[in-house]
Amino acid sequence: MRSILVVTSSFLPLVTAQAKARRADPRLVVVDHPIGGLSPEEFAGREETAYAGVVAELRSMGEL
Amino acid sequence: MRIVDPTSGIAPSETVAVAASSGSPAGALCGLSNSKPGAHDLLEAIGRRLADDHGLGPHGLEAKPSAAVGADPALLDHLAARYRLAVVAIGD
Amino acid sequence: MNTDTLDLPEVDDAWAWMAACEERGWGDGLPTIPPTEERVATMLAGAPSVDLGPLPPRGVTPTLRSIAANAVMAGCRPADLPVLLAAIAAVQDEAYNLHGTLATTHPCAPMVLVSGPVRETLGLNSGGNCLGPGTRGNAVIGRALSLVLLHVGGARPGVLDRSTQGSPAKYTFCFAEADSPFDPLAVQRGFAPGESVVSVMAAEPPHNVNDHGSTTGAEILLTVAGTMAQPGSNNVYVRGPHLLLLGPEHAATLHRDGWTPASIRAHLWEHARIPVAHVSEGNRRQFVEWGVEPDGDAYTVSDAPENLHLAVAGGAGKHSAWIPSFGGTALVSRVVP
Repeated sequence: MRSILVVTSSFLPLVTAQAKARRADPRLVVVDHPIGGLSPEEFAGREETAYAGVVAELRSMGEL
Repeated sequence: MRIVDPTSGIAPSETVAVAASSGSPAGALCGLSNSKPGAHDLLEAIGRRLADDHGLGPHGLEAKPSAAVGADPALLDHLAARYRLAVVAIGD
Repeated sequence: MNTDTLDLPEVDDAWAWMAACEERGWGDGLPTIPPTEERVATMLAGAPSVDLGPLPPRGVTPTLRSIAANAVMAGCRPADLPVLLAAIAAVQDEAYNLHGTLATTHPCAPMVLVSGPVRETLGLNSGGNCLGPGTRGNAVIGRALSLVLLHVGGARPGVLDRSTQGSPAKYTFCFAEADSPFDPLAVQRGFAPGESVVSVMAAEPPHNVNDHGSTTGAEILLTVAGTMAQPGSNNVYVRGPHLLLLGPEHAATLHRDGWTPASIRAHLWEHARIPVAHVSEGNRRQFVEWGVEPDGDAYTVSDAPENLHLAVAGGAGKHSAWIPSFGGTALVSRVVP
């Protein structure tokens, strides 16, 4: 199963270190932290970044 | 000064196993969130837009039972058997 | 020469050692003792053998030498090592959820509660200021556990330890339980009275329960219940264990009035309730997503009376402490080898 990881910037060091420990090389899409407790306008910005990143990754994977 | 390295130990040998679905998956794409509300909302929006803009679907949305614990291996196996692709969200 | 040794030619005094630690991201910010080969060998003389697994998040399995190195850095005596080893084994229990507790944004720290004869052997403090500074064993055992998790586990603050604010308990959080009219925690959990036992829990720092005015056990429990009824606690929706650490004077009053750990637990389960009106609408929605609904017009603290553990510690005074947890953890006990 192929996967894409959407991670907030605050958790990127954790994800990177975990990936290294497990010898994995995940496809990452990084969005600004946080994604909780936001106004609808603020959340829309995060959504846009995440969506664009996922689409780009899917294209690079030949899925789109 | 010669010291014993306090970070030393036996290095992990674990590697990530890539699970593959056997047969035809029921869906193209699933989302898996860390169960924080923002992560769930983000995956929901991504799934909806991928379906609308690119016809990528059907898609499912799952979450860890709690942000405090790891995902149940049975859930991961279930998703790997049913879907070809996964978008995983880790955020707060 | 062992492959786990390092030559640090530039380190020739305490200040240079502190600088070397800082440069490598070692330590908790306080001074440590350099773990020279000689000191590590002394620490390991007579050490029991234990079977330990990998420590998350880094996934490295500690060796006795790396544990001893951290024990030296923390200031442990060789006699402290078995308690430290029991604590490491306990946090490695799957139910403790070590990875989650180290990587979370929650401020939980590895609490170490020591029961049984080893308390006297090591001079651990179960009396006045037992949760604070002043006793070497309390200070260094808790600190050594944190250093092992930091150095071998890799739970470095700001990198893999993602705690929003952290807590002072992350430096060290170790104490002994006091003799009391009630069964010790270890005995309540099925261990023999003569056994030395370590119990760990991923815990918040203690929340004080000040009650100078009450004269009966029931009144004291009313104050305890009010202290526990906090809408901002992880226990409300993640559930899991929490600990009521009674001060000896509160414990004596409760015992005098016929209360037992079981009846205290049952009473607090019924009376420590968080009114729905004290919980925001957004949080109520999140609680529902986590499968937590109010019981009538209030939320329970955790999901069963058995999740409230009870012990006695402290000195003179009318104070007790409620110690909530990370929620996604368990109180795990191990016999000291």
